[in-house]
Amino acid sequence: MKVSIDWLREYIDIDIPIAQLGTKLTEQGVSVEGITKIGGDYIFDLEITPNRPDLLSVFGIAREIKVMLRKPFKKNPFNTNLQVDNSGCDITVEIEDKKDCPRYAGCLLENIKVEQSPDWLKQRLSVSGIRSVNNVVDVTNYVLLEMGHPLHGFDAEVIKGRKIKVRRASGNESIITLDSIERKLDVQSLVIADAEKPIAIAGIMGGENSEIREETRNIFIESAYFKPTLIRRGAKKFNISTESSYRFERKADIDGLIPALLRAKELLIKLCKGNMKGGITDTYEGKKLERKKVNFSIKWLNGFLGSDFSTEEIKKPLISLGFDVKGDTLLEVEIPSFRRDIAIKEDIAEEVIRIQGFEKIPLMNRISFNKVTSLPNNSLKINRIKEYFISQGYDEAVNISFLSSEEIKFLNSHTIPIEIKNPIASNLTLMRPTLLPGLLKTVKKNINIGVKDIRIFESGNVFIHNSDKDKINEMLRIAGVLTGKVKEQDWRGENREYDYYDIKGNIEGLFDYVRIGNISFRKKEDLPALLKMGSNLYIGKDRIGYIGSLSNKARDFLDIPQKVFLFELELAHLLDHISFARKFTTLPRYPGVLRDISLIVPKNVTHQQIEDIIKMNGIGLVERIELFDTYHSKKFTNGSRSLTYSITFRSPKKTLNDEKVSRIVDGISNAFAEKLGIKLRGSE
Amino acid sequence: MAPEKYTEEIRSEFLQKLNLTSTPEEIDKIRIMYLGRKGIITKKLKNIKNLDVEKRPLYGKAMNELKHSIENALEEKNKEFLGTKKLEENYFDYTMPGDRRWQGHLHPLTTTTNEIIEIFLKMGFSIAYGPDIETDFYNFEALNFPKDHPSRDIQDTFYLENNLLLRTQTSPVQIRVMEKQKPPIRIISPGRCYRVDNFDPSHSPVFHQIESLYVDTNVTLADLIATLDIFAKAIFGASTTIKLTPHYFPFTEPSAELNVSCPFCGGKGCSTCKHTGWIEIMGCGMVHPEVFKIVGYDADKYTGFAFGMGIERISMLKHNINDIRLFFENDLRFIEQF
Repeated sequence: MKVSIDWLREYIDIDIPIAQLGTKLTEQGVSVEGITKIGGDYIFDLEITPNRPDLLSVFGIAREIKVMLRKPFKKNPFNTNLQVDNSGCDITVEIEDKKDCPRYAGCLLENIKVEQSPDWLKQRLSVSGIRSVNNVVDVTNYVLLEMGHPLHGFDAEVIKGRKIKVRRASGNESIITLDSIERKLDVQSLVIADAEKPIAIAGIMGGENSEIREETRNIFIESAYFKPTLIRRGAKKFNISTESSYRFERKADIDGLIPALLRAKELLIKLCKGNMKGGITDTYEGKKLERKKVNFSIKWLNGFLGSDFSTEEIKKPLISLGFDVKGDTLLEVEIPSFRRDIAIKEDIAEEVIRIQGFEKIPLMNRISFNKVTSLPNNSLKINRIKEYFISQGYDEAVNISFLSSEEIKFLNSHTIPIEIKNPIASNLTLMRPTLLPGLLKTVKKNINIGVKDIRIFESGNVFIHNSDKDKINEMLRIAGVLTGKVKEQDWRGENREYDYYDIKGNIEGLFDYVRIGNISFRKKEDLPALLKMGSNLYIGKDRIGYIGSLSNKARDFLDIPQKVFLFELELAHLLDHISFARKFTTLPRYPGVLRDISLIVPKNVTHQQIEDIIKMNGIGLVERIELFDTYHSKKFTNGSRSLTYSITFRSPKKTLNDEKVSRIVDGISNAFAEKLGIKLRGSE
Repeated sequence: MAPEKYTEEIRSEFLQKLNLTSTPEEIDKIRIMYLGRKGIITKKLKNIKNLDVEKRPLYGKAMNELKHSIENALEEKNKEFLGTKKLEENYFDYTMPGDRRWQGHLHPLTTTTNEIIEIFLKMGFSIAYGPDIETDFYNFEALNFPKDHPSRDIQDTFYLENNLLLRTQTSPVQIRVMEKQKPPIRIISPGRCYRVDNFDPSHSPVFHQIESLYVDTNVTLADLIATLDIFAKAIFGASTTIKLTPHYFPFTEPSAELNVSCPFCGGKGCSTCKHTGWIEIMGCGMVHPEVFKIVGYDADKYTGFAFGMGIERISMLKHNINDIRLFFENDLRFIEQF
């Protein structure tokens, strides 16, 4: 909200520098976001929080300055001792439901002259960001800015039946509002109607049919209080926020509407000539709203704030703010009608501390250190895993959780993604069901800027419908990508590109690092469509993720020119398998015996099968199996290959002799022949 | 003269000469001088046949040993120039690039989060987590955001199916913890949040927060201020000072914003702090009694404080990062600076 300092000076003497006034207002809770100089005037741009509708006016701000500077008002438009003639006028007001409209007042002015406003008025509106229309509309807006209460002027001659009805619209009514848009009304819409039709959407915008025109002579000025939630719903439904609706939905001052009406009447008679016909119509019938009272003790307040305020230090700011305060050690505070945000003693505590200043709270440290806290286990485990990837040269990426439908389509997965109903952009409409698209985007982006050797990982939630489709699972995952060269080009000349075995090695290394032993790479289930040459990863029987290389199709789609290797793991599952417990195993006392074996293996036999046979037939004495050579030769039939292993045998009980080891190797050899039909080429 | 003494003299003279060489050419000259057709050793070996028959074997053996040791010494010396020693020692350049592996880097959001967590762990806070996808109840209702109330406009919300939403703040975790646990409670909860904001240098629809909640009997505003003072000094340096300015949040009363003395200018005023000397880093306040009522706490018995900060904001201030979008663009040249 913009407010003019010159205007403020009409109500209160400001004798401190403008910048200081700005700082002090902010420290008091009226946040000054900017100060602009216009001619000799300064305009404050204020951020008013939604709990403080009382600050949505020049006078409201003057009230805060009065408390700050401890000065009396020069004038107070609410403090009118004027006699109010509430005998009513010849326009009758009928309210369908008092809950929708607890109070409706108005008055009739006749023989007015509608014309341009004087310059001073135009200027006041203009610095507040409001366009000048004509003197009648401008006066209603002026009073809204000055006193915070929205008013509305109707052309009295078009009010059919000389009757104002405040009612809900029927299902099939509509109205053309002042912005020339036809609005379909529904039973949630509160309207101001005459005997026949709606002439305004209550509290939001007037109708074109009752607009003040140049030829208008008689006007009806409305000053009312509407149910805030109704106004808010209406403003949302019609997608309009007006100065009126903004104030009504934040709760206007129900006691302030008559002073506002009187102020408008006075200005209208001055600027538009004319005269008031009859008295003021007021459905309130002079009843006064019961004022809220809040009780608390000085001891409670100081205890709650950790402060040491005297009774006077607590009472003074409250009184200055317009509260009635009674009592000494026990206080009873009566809340003025314009402070509808105050309801409980904590609210009062806030008023006291914001006027006294938070710096009055003694800075002491009463924080007790009675509890030893540490990271939860899962956080420690995640940190451990991140450390591992960092040690392997991976950078950590963080992508947002949104994807486009194209990105999902290219994944070619059968899961139905979770849609965002109100996305900010057409390419950010879906919640990610996997971390891979984000990482691939990261790869592409970095290749484009010339960073081609990339190792990245990301951990974060993915979002997937569960099997019964109506629930959403949030799953913590970790994924990573390798692409480019294994090392930066250097003078030693090693310059290999990453391949599948690099990423597999990183994953095997991870499981080794977190001490998960029973992992296996299998091809059983379908791999994600964007993977080729990959495999599923299992811990025991749990499928925990997959690794592989990005398919050519996906690479074409993403326009990534180089080979990309990736993995994605269910991090949450993984964490369940990690334990930080470590048990020492006695170091071997007897030497191990090394044997190398060489096999020619048919195409369909995997390394895993061979390793399994060696382990199973090693009678528990196989300590280590290393594949250290593979080769292909045209001499081999059917695409067979040669694999050479180095096996370490060791017994914890004694030194193994050659004979014993040879017997084991024979056993292994027999198993190869039996199970896979292959022979050892030799062993040494 | 005994043959050993005789060969020893030749050997020491040879070694002296060899030591003076500094090029392969000079070594070759010495080789020729001793082992060439007319070389010293060659001549001596030829002369053996002129010796007494009984002396010949002894001299022969000694001379052959000498010849071998000279050959070995020459070979060794040659290696210094030609063999492996050539690179390692002669061409040794201690300034050449070492052989390095790729070094990975944690994302600054992770390092900042960890740093903040560390501070609060030391103060006896535990960590709690909650889901990204929330219900209206946890994200708004239980936090005293009434339905159809303008306070909901503070945080524009992304909606999903079945009236689910993406949490706009980490505060729902407070409610989830209080529902399960009786006071005393002292937690922080880091997590991802979402708000309907377009990307610009200071906004992102996805961002991260750390929220804190402390509930017990007799928790005061002074406790909150003391905690924030410790935190501000721990994260921005010991000379940091703090200032609270009143604000509004539906779930705290009183509510305030925490300002810290500008870490860039130390409070003198610069472009980062818009020449105010202060930078706002978080919202905070005393837990609203309504919130306690909703989770079934006795609002007369317990008080509490809560605060929440944007991790990106803290990280930006700590590292002088001027655009929030950098956190999510994953330019490795950015990440590798941390």
